[in-house]
Amino acid sequence: MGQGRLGTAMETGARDGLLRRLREVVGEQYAFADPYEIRLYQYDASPETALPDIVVIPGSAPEVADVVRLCAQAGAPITARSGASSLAGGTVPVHGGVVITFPRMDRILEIDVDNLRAVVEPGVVNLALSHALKPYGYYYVPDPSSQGACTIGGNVATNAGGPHTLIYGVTVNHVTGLEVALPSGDLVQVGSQKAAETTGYDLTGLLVGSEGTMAIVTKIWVRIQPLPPVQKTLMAVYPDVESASNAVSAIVRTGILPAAIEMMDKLSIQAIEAASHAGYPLDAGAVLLLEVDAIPELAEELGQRMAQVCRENGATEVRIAKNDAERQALWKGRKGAFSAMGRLSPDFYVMDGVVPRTKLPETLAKIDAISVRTGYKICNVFHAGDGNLHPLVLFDAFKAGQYEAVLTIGDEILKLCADAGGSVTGEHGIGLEKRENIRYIFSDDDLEVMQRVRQVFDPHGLMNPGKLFPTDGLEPSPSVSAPSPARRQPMPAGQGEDLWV
Amino acid sequence: MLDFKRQLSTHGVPTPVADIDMDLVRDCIHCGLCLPKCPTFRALHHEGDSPRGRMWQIKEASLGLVSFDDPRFQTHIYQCFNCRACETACPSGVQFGPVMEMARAKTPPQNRRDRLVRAVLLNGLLPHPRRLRIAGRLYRTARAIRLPELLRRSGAWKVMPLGKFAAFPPVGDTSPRQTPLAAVTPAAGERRGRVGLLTGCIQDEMFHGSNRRTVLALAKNGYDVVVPEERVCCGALASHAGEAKTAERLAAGTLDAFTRLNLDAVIVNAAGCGSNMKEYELQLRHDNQRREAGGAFAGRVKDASEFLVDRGLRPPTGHIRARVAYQDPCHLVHGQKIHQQPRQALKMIPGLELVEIVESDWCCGSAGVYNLTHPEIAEEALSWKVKHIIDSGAEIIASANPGCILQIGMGLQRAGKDIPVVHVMDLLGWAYGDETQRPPVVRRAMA
Repeated sequence: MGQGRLGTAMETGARDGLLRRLREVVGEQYAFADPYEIRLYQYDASPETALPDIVVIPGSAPEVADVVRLCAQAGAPITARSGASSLAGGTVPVHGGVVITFPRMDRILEIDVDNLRAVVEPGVVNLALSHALKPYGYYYVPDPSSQGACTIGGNVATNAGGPHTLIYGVTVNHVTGLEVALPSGDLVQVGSQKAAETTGYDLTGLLVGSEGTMAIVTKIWVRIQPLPPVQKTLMAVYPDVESASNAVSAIVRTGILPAAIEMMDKLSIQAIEAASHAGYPLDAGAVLLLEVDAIPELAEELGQRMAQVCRENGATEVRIAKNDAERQALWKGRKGAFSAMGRLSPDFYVMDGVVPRTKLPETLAKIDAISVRTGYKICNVFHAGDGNLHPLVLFDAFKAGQYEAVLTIGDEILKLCADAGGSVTGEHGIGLEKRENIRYIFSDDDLEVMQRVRQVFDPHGLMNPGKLFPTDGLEPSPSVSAPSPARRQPMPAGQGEDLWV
Repeated sequence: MLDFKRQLSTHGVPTPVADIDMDLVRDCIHCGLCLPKCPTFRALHHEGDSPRGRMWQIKEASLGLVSFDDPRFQTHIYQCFNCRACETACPSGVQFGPVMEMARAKTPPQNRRDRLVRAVLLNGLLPHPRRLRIAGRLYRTARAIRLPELLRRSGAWKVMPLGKFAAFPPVGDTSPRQTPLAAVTPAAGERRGRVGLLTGCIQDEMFHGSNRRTVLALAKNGYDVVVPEERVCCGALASHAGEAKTAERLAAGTLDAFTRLNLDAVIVNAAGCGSNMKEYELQLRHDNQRREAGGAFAGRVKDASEFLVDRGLRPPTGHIRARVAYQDPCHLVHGQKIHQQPRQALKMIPGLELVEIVESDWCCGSAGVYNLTHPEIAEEALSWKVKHIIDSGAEIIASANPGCILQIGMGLQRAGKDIPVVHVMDLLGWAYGDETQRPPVVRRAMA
């Protein structure tokens, strides 16, 4: 207990008792507390780590409900972890407790083309759903870059976006209903299954993006839509990010809203080319990737119009993908961009700021100035169409002080996004990483209201504690007593000494 | 117990152990894109049995946070197929195969079955040409006297060690005596060059006919084909299993044997061997005399389909009117990034209709000696494969690695399916006129 067992929070006796009960629910092999094995659930795709006490791999919704109820009874924090591709530390169990993971719940339960719905379990991989829909001529729209590994459950938790959400909207626009497990052990259904509209409170909208702080999703009704008849994909090359940014504004002014407008700067292009040979020119200052979805009669014309606007606004080269293989190559580069940074640097820290589109050139110039001042390389890969920036700061976690320095840089960048009238997250979620930065957007009063809403679902602050909210004074109010004082542990050094669940 | 980050920030970064290239380990940024492509993660659902989890364990072990000899480390590391599907999925360019081999070399497996396979097969049999020849003759004699039928009918295969492989053998040689390949087979038609052929260890004893048809295909394409006088084993199985010393010795022998022959290219028809030989620079990194030569040699190693198609395959004239599916061997598609050439070679056979199998680039569970050391998991992977093959409607399966051909052939026969599994070079050879060992399906398709 205490400082000796940083990261894990449960007393051995309480842990073993809970483990025994969990094993009765999911079976011996799917719940474990082995000190070696739990080390494999301390990380996600962010630089953060923290050890859980117990890992559970349930196989069905009723099992999840039982697991959540038992954890709540034992006063154990509960963190859901699915693809664990979170870039914001959303699945890292900072307060220890129980990690619930979903690789066994990866079934597509129903595909109902006529009603434009699919029903899935939370562990279904985003891309696997679109692959399954393809024979029907349909797909699931939100396409985060990690779509080959991230799951629909995780997408719901973070309200994930992706390049093609520019005209079609993010996860919340494509989820119509949810079945969730509450700490009480109840399985509850919110939203609508297949009807177009829902009545009363939009609880689906509330839960999407709640990052596991209210309930654990066990079933998801998603909207599906027909594959676009034709997709025209263009790559436009610019001497610098400023001219590319201006081109984006010009494109939007034409009134043709592309399905996606992506931008990559020089450093990103180099990493991407090393990784996937997407065909981006290595000497370009910036590359725009544009895509329009249209019926065949229109696609060619729209493609040409886009190309023309790009050229009029300073593009030195415009290339239109001639076939699906070329289109795939262009996208493969963009979608593998974050991971491709592994080629430039052992570690990177990715941010997810949003700015009004008109502020793009100014913001990018400021980020560049930060890079010059601090000496850390910063790559920019982002959804230019909706002003969602992903600056990546490159560093080496094995070198003392670098991570701390990078966190400061990240904070500065998010502050300038907020000051420009934007936000500190577009699609990755607040998670662990940005819980302090949320203050740049919301006042104490705003956060207090959010916290009260959360308490309706999670009165004892057990659901993914330590995420989403700043650490001081805004965790569950003192009037709420947690069932077991045993798990109240001070956070380890460096995480804020005053953090309580 | 501290988590990774806090351990490093509290106690500093430990000095990594020797023999592990920490830069290769740290290429992994734990983004998780590999997980849905990993067969053992699909089968076992545990992060520890995913590529990311294994890289993480190797990282922690290299820094001394966990022990290489920890039984749990061994379990997860040896439970890996080493199929390298994760490398194809990885945008960070992690060289998972080489890292896995380094990690395995640090900790020989402790369980009995694993040790037995290593002692008998990897160190006791494969590296020794004479013993291998005797074993090969025993194997072919057993087939000649119809032992497989006896095993099948009596049901004895179910209780016998390796029974399933003995009872459901592949299309291959059944005469105890073999006619050795000629030391030099001259090119037919306009001469385009001089190449060597790795006849391999298991490949040559169980699939001598495939070697013969590979020689035929090469000769028909204008290449003199040279076979080294002394049989060489490239060390792939040893290397993939982490038997580093044996692997290094065999690599040196292979390098020397082919270097003497002055060749334009060294042709390999076993994917596992080709993948290994293309990494000789790494294999021979401790061999000061051969390290550089290893890199140059690796550049001349070519898979048979890769070589023939890239140089322009001369179209065969024999018709094979059948639906054929190509099964990607992991060490070809993931290990060597060769995906198109075998398919293009097959498409050039008149009458052949190429169909695709769902998940053709997923491991069949053979995975070197994996189906011997971990039969349960291997069986699960095989069951996915068999189902997808049956669903594809293919009449013949073509592949390019002895392990896959053995494993999938066994799986299909056991499922009661008369779908022969053969080498791409078999089909090509038959289409070039070779008339031996054609299975009934092929005979009918060529009638």
